[in-house]
Amino acid sequence: MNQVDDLKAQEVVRKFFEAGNKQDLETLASLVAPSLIVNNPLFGQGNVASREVFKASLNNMSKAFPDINMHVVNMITQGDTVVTEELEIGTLLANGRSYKMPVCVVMRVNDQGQIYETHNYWDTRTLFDQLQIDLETYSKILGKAV
Amino acid sequence: MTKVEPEEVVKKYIAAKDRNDWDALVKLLDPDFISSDPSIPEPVKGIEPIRQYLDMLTDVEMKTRILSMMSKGDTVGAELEVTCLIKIKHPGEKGEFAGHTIIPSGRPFKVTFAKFYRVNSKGLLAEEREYSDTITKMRALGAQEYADSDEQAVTSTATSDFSPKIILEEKVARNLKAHPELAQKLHGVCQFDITGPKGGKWYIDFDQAGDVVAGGNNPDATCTISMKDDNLVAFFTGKLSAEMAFVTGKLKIKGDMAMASALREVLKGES
Repeated sequence: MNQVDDLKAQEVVRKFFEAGNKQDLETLASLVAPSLIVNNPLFGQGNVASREVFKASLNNMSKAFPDINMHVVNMITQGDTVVTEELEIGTLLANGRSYKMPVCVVMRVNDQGQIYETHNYWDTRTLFDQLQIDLETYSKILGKAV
Repeated sequence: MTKVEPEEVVKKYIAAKDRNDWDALVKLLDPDFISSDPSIPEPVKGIEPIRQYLDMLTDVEMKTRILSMMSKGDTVGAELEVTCLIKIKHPGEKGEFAGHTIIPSGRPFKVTFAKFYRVNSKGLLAEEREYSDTITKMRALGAQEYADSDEQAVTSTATSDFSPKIILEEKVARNLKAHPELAQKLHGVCQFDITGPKGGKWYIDFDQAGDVVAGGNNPDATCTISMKDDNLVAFFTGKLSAEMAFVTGKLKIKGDMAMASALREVLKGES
């Protein structure tokens, strides 16, 4: 891939974080491929989500954490891959507890400018300690999440 | 002077770690090197503490596969898959890692995580930040605190003298009589719903004078604690921390969280 592709991939991922902070679900869904591969420490590796499932998952997340904010600290791109280091904060509406957690998100962007794979690296223990909930409760709150 | 490429420094660091070559590894570090990892409570700072940390890995064979690596200025981001094998002499042999008791399986396992590195103008690593899941990592290492309750039941035999009935009706009741100040700090009723073959229902009425622990269900409970019998025993005997029990879903709390938190002293047992 050439330099233009690097910039394009980075632009897509930046738009994704901007839309995420505005809880703009329509834009978020439009930025991902029809079949998105999701890797996440909570819900497993290699899950494939349609745009509808992805949007439903974001909707649940948005209801659970209405003030979620991702502050991008570092973003590095090579070819189709964008590695982002961000500081995420949010408040769980169900119990009013907040979390602040460093997260690394690796996203891969196809030549149509759609994110086709996301790999989220973060620590479930850090999140659950701060929110004072367990996995079962978290899963119930988020419903069917990817 | 030839400019040192940050990615090359990071690759040399990873290779030295895979060879367990700590001398070569520390030569790549700035004296004020900082390493942070969510499974370690505080970042490790400076060469000597790093060496002490690395000494814990002496019996670990590691082989790192770089899934992706890229850099911008002095910062390098990477996704890594590490295949680990903890060398053991006997099956079931206990070890220690970062303050946790581990019983390695003797089989290789893989962990995947991301790291960010910062390389300074001298070509030395100044910082690394790991992004990984502590529970996944510790379970893979064989940390008993993070094991599934079935695995814990198999590996824990020293706790068989205790049961929830003995713990709550004898040990906790005696503890509260010996230390009345503990009960005086608390008000209301705490219900214990303990599942499993040795389970049952008990409650502690902190507003009651005299015998405060009783069997059965109390509808006026302000706080309900639900746990499996062997997890309560592991908790009482110090083999399972309150934090881990809560985080891994082994301990469920309904109602007054402040009371549940204060109960830690009341339930403090024998380790």
